[in-house]
Amino acid sequence: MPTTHAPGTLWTRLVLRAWRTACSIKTTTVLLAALTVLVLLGTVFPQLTAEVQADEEAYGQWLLGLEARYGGLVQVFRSLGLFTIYSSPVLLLVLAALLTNGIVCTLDRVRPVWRSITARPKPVRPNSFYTRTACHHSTEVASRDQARQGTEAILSRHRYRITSEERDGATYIAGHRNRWSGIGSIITHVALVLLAVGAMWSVHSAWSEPAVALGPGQIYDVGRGHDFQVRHDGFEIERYPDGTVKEYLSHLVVLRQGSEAVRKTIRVNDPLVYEGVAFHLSASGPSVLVRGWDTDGQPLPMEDATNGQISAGELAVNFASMDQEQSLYIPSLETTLYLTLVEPFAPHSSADAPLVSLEAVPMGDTGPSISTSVSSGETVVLSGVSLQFRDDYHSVLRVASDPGFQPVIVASLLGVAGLVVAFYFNPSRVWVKLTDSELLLAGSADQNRLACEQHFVTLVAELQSKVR
Amino acid sequence: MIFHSYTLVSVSWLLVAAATAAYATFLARGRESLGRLGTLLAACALSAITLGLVLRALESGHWPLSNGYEFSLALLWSVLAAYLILERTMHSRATGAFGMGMALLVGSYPLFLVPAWAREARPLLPALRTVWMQLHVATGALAYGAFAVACGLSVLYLARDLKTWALASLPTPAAIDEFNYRALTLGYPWMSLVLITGAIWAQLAWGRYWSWDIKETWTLATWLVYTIVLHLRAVRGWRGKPIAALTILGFALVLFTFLGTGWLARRVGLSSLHLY
Repeated sequence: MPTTHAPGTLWTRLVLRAWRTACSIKTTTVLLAALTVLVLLGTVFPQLTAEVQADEEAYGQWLLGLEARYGGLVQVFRSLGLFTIYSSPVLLLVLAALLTNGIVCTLDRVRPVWRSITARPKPVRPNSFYTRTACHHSTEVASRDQARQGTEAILSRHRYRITSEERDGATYIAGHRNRWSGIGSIITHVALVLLAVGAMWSVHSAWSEPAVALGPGQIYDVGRGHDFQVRHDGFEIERYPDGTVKEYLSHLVVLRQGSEAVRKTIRVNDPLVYEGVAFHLSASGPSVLVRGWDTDGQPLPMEDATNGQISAGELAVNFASMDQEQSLYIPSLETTLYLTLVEPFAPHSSADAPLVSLEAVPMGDTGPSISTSVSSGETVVLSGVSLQFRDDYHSVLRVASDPGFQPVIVASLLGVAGLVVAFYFNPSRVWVKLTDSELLLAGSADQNRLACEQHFVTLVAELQSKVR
Repeated sequence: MIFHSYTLVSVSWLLVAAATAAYATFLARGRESLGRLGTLLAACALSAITLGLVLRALESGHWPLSNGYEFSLALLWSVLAAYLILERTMHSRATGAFGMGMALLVGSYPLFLVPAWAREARPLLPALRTVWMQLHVATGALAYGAFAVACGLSVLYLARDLKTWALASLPTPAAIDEFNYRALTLGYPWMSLVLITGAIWAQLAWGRYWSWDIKETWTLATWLVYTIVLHLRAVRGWRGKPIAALTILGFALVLFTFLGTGWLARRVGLSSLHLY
């Protein structure tokens, strides 16, 4: 048996074959299946996040957890990349292949879709066509002109685009409805490509500070090319009448060159967004506000032990947990104050219960000069310096900027719009041949054949009432 | 209040059971009046669950979409609505017994499996106080409702081949396949919106629209499986049984995403922002 080859050089044939493979639906489904398996694998094995990887201690604990769970298999699983699936080259390769497939499919589909939108339907069909087509019907007519007018009116009412032609003593009419709906799948595929671009933009440009703890009055300098700061003006808890928490509220102020630019109370689902940087309320915790003044009543400089910043007169000390010990340094006394919270911590309550246990250790000295418990609002005098302690909350903010978010959402919504067009505006076609005594009707649809049949029954009923 | 929402949910379930029986008898005997009765009972069940959801909203003071019990009520509403829309657009009652059968199963969960304490109306937690939560859960209910109907139809498709059926009104395989496709196209855009509204909510609440959290990853996998189904349908030779089997697999993923991801997260030792 002779073998037939497609025309052209070997190179051309190879390119054509590669193009056909790249835009084949089978390729799409294989890639989608591979992607499904990969993303699900990531939920069966604990995944190493960038935040854990950046923190040496957390990373060590994470590895210990893996060894406890998988024992000697950890190395095998690690070498297979099962703990880093979402950043693995295999996943990236599948995503890149899907993106290529989407682009090639879209390009491949543009021409036929454009042709189906712009092509003029051919009305003249042989008689055999009217019996071969999926839906067909014939009926007697009283007058050809009247039947033609009636048919065109009915088809127009059903939103058919009509073309007619007179030939060999018969009138031929062709109607095409929703011929543009093929553009829906192109819109969806283009949207998926745009979504991928948005996601890549996110990967490239997004940044975040996962946990910025800000006590009352504390200021966060955004940096990263932004010349504004955010001040935390307090935290509140709103409750339902039964006492359960209704809302966490954090009062933030944007400062630009020292003056207030924007003020907003943020909630769990309502961040402050300023110049593309979002401040999300992610948690809260206990805080002790320390006020200090010297013997002359002047504000006392105090150094925050966590970041080395010096504040005059007032300093918020934030606690990540109840058992955490925090410290602050008073330069004028060369003394470090160690603070530990005393349970229960109930800010703004009127109870005169102890708030913190305080230990003051002078530099170079061997023993503590003071070790006592202090209640909220109580003043402690230390070598002539007065220190007052007040209970409060600090807010934990996630500060993030992601320029890819909006493009991703817009592209996704565009994709859904394309789906609606593709799924709910099914193209259908009808052909009519009218002679002086008979009307032949045929109809077909690419999708939703059952509904098309029902629609055809309706058309036939309407035509019969008009043309007989 | 004269009626408690739970009473109306029970009434709705009974009406669904009656509709299933009517549709099944219609399928066996082929009497059109029984099919019409099935439609009437299904419409009454939809009205009862709609009223039940309204009462639940009044009882709880928020949209009834904030916990597993309320979501299952919304899902029952969605299965009934999806089936009735399909019946109307496809002009056929032949698959009613399977559509209603799925509604009966979905409706059994809030009535018989959710403990009484979990049915109590509670005020919304701060994390749930956003319109995006309502849109996310509502779109999820609409998508899953349509997919539940598609799953019922796929079971019918596969069971039809057992040839132990002697039913008068059993639809042709092509008709069931077409019905299934319609149900999938009804649910798929909503499923896409589940991912989109979830991403918007995550961006507002957590500052990142995608974090490979176990729940969102399984939702993505479900979406991918239905994407495969819709693509495969265009490939010659893949209609019918493979599509039916994949549709059932898709719904199994839906159920696992809804009920099983918490268990998996605990088993594997994953942390999840969706588990609290």
